[in-house]
Amino acid sequence: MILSKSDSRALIEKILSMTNADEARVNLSGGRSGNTRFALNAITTSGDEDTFTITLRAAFGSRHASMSVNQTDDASLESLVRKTEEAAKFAPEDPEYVPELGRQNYLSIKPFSRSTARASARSRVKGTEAALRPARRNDLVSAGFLEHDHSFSAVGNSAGLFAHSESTDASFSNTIRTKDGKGSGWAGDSSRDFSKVDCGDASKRAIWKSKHSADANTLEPGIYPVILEPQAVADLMRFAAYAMNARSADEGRSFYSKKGGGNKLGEQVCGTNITIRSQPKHPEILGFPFAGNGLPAKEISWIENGILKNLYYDRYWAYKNNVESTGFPSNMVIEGGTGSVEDLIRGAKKAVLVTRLWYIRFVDPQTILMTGLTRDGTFLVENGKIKHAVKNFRFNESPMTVLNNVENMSKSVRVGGSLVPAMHASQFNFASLSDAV
Amino acid sequence: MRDLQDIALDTARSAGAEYADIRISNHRTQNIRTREERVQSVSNRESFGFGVRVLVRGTWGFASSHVVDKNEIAKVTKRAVAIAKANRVIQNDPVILAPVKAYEDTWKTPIKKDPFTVPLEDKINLLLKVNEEALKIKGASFCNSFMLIMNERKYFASTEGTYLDQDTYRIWPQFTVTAVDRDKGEFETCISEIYPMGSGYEFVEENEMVSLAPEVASTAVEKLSARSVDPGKKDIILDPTNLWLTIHESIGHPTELDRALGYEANYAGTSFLTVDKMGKLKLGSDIVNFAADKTIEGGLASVGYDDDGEKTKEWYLVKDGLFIDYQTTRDQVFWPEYQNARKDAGLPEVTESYGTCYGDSWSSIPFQRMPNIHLDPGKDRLSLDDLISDTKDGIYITGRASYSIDQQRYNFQFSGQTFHEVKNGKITGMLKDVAYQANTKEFWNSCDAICDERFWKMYGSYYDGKGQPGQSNAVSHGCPPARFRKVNVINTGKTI
Repeated sequence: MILSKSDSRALIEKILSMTNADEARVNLSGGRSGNTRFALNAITTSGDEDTFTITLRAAFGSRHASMSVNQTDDASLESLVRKTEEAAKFAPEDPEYVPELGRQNYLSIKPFSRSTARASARSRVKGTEAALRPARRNDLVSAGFLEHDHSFSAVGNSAGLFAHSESTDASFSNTIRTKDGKGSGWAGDSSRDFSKVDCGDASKRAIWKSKHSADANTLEPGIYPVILEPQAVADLMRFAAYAMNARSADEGRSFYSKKGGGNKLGEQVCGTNITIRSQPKHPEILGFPFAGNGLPAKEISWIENGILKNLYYDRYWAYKNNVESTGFPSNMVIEGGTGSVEDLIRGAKKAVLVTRLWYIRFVDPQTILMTGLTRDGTFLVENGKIKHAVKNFRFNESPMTVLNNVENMSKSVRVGGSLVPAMHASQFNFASLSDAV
Repeated sequence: MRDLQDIALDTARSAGAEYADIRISNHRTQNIRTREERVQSVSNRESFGFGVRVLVRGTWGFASSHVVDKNEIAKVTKRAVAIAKANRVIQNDPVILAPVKAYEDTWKTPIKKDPFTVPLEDKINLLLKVNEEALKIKGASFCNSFMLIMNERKYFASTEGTYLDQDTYRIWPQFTVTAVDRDKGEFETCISEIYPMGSGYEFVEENEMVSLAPEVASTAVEKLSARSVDPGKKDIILDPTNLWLTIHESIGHPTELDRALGYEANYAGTSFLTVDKMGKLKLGSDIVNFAADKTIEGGLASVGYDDDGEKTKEWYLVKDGLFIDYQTTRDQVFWPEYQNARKDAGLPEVTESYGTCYGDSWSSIPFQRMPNIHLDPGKDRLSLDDLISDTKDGIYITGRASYSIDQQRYNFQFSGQTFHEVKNGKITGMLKDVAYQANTKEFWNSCDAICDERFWKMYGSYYDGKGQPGQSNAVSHGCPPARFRKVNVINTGKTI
């Protein structure tokens, strides 16, 4: 269910008027999404979901609690208010309680596309056909997912803050495998605008990788130069971003903690060619204008030329340290180069080319050491050309090691909510072989 | 409730569906989080709605809504039928459902104490007391604790004549202690070995978290000064607190029939256990037996009936080391690849689903999800002490930590919460930076000892992801301690 700005304001004000709490905040969210899954060159499941959630956070002094429901009748709202108040009264005083934000100014961002809001099962059939037809024609097997989502979010509180925004998202991904199971290729595309998601082009790329990844050679595990395609960069670098919590760093339990106490703000944490920002107004990855607590999204430099410029501060930790709250990063933009992945390949003497990564988990948060596997298109590059496919690897590597050894980058492209380049790095630890295709 | 359900079933039939089901469900959760002396959050959530699934000339369609009334149910059912009709244009083979009996029944998780009626104050005080006791240990810097409670009341009806009312409970209390050495710039954590259970609040009381807290805190502190492991091939003895997750990843997921045939290729992946290996592949040593069920008391996946309306049951996936079967739903049983492979291997004919269909919300499309899967205890009398005494050069590993496995479930790497070196039959000290890496088939064939039933324990996962859009499933795995010979142990220490 999508609520307009005026309907959202009316519902929020109604709930706020029902509570006796000292402070209260109401979040509304909802939307309608549609998805189609396909596998073995046929649609497997397809459905529409209609969702709606009301969350009330109530505080008496510094005692607080929250509750969510999805019904809007008067009895449900009354129950929401009474139960939330009851829980808040039972909660102990919170020494870290921060009063609600007052009115805020928000960036003018409209992450909304009419074509996505109008997408339907029929439009998904067209996109799915663009994946299935070439797979069938090439005697390959396609499995993938196409979805579109139109949602809204609104927040209002007893201090007079109100914000409302609608957003849309659409994404497509396709894994194409050879019938004998020896080759697998993946490609995807995403946009706020459903009409711009190119299922045909992504499928073409997946088909090329599938065909060329069959009968992979064995390259012995070891430390090799690597070319991580944008999807692989996004897969790995999100962990470097998640770790940028100021409080964890100050408490000594993060990569960004400094030996002897404090954090690494102002220190060189990676190569001088690395700059990472949040840019909610970037036209290719428009972010959401506000966070759940009403904090405005803003442009922030996290790492500039390898120097750690900011960690993210929630409102309490910002207050305690007398700095401005950054909120959680609204999106991630890694400044890239100018060329394409193909240009990186042409410039590499020897490297392992990685399409995407899978099942990435922390091994050691102290060094952001991650383990995971390569998947759906791993190739050996020699003298500027893809020489042949290689078997997949398990890696044990830290994104910070990669960011300290980047030799070249492609132009940054949209991957989900991030804008990232492909990276050519001089070393990457491929720890063991995997038989998986 | 039946009036509402019949509207969906009748509307679907009138619109041309040969099968339809409707799940009307209410989901309640409570999540309490604390750190040190502070309650970070208390949040309650309720979500009520329905989802309708239809089969029109062999093609699925699904739609859902949070507005539960007669008009909306009729409208949403028509939408599900329209989706099925739109998709039918590009379909190949029609979906065939295995037969199922009509049931009218109720089922409830056998709980002694409803966790939602326990005063919030009691739960908060318990968690804060845990934190307090943990932080009394010298060197313990932080303690985070939480309690998750879940109840799902689900009303299922289908055109097969089934009407079900099921009431499911799950609960998960846990805490983590962090020890920080600021001078060295190092930190270590230790997580309490309490895993979720299909239970009431009695599970929290049985676990005595407060008395456990000092031990967990001491372990976190001890880990700071533990010796970094020498990598190499070693015998590893895995405690049930560690082995359950290895079972989940290396046996649970590859025996999902949809994965084996390529239905999950785009996300979770496929499986090295292809159907031609059924009845032929020696997946483990002779002492390795894996049974699946959705019936065991306390099991996170335990229910009376699945989301196909099939009665839940027990069956073997691996018998005497031989891989013999998969997890199935009604629309998978008659897949020709499965039936032909069983016939080819001389395995008994299967004509009913094993009852593993599940959707994690009224708004989610139900599909094949993992049941509880357990390693049978060893037949010979064998204790953990016996196992350690019988090991010359090994590591005893407990607890869940880093875990990762490839998309066909060959290559895995797991870590743990604690690692103790075993030399000549004795535990000689604590190690750190340990992970074990193996190939699933080689690993289970290297299993040469499994403790007996006295040491069999069940743990599990609250959040097991699968599908697109992603859905969560809760599942339990029981096992005793077991030993694996000559496994590749790596050192995960690193400096940047």
